[in-house]
Amino acid sequence: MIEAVVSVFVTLRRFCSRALLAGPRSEWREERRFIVASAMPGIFLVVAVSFYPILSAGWVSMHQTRYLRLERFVGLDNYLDLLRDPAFRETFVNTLVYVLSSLVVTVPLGLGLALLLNSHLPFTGAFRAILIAPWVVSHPVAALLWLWVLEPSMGPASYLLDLAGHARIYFLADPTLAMVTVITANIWISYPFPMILFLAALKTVPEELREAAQVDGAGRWATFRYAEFPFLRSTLLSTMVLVGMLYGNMVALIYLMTGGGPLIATQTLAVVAFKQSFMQFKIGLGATTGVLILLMNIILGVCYIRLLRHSGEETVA
Amino acid sequence: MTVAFVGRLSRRYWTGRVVAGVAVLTIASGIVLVPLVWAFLTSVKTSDDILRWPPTLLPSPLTLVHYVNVFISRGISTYLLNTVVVLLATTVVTLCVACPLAYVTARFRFRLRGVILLVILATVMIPSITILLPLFLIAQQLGLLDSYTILILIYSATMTPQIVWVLRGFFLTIPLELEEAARIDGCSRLTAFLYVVLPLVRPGLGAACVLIFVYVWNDFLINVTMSTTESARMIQVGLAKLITDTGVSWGEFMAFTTIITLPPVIAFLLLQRHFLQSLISGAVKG
Repeated sequence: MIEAVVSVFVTLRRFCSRALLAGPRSEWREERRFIVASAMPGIFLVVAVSFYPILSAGWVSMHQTRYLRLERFVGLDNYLDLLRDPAFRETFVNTLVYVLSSLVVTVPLGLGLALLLNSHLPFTGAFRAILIAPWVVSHPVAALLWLWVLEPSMGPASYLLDLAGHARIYFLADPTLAMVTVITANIWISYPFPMILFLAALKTVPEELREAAQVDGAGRWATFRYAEFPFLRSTLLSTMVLVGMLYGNMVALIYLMTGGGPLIATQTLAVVAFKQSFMQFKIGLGATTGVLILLMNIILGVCYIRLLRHSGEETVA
Repeated sequence: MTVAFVGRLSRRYWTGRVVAGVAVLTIASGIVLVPLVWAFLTSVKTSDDILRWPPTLLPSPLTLVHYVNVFISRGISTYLLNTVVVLLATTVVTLCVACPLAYVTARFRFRLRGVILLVILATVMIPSITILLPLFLIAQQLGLLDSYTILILIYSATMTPQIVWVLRGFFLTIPLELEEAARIDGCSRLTAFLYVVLPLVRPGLGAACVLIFVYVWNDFLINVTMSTTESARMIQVGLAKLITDTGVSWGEFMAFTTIITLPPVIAFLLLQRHFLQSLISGAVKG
């Protein structure tokens, strides 16, 4: 009641003050000035640091370069060179393997753990804190931790192998094992992200729906499939795209664990772009790889929006 | 079906599942903790103890010698100092730039609003490795390599879109009437924003600070590409540099790792709720 009176009073006063003090035109102009002044610094910063360099990368990628100098405009030659290079094709396959294998594990793992954390078990708070912890560990630290755990001559992994009567394994010396190791470290550090997103989505499922399903005799699977999953579908898609992009753009973890080796067995596109640009200073090639990664991200992003729109229509229909 | 029967049924149904569920969570937590705990234990063992085969779980004489070494001969204090300076500056710049932007996109409807929001969303798709090479070339031309300035600029610019999303969500929850009342009482738009709206989104600002802290503290890629000398190297690059240095013991490695991992973990444990909230609002909408 009091609130209603206050709001009427406020509206009245606003009306009066507007009518008396300022003409609508100057009011509007002042508002516009305020908006421009507030938005400009942020827009400028983002455009200058995130968008302008894309154009610059495109420009550099069309040049033959020597050290940090642009020598000659060559059009799309760098792109053609890269696409013809078998090593680059292997790198591309590595990237797919790395991204997809990580995704195939982290998304179901995150979903499963989120479901468990959301089912009123004891100690959920403690478990949640521990299970999210790797997300705040940096990638260099994760790389080092795993190098240390898997250290062949004195690490605990070797000790366990010893107990099992198995010979020591040089995890990072074998091409396949090295990839498996890097993916394992990646899973360890990155599964909390999908888990957090799924936890948030699960909080939107009305409790009554779950109870209704259980009263109707639905088991855990049926409850998940018919009561919870519909609320998760769009999160599932967006999570896969976001996490996929994240994996495709990772440099630190892989670079510090294997340097892309042995040979180029664990080299992904992002790692090769880093090496071309900042180790070998072949900046033309580095920029070209960078632009290709960006294109892949854009394709993923567009697919994501399409999928989201599609699933939106489905729910409406 | 009586209520009592349903209760019994559900209780029996739950007991087995609770045990299984807790068991799975315990195993998962155990696996998560193994590398972290092993690293910490290594950091307080003597070097002889670390090299012993078979490896022992607990340190037999407890030692802090690696922690002392990390400060004395590995120069972690310089890295920490650089990190703190860049972190504070980045937080200030990002908030100064993102707050007003988030506010106007939440509060006003204007022609370019949709475009601005789209631009901000689109930054999610830009991989940092793509823009780092041009930024390196620009920094080199401007003589900004190895400076705090370039790091602060890049960190602020990469964090701004995410922080705008987080803060926008908070601004949207604030009733318009509040500001209007302030305006009538004689506040200008700016003072109404500063003294009425901003204090109300303090939880949002807290969440933003945590996000910026974890991002800058844990960054490796941007720092390593913009630094050719020690002058602006931060902790993660410092750690990576140890890998190439000769004669660094595993004990020192793990002491270094423990020192730089504790602050974000502690911040996360203390501010879990804020942290999760901001992460979710930043990611689902972004």
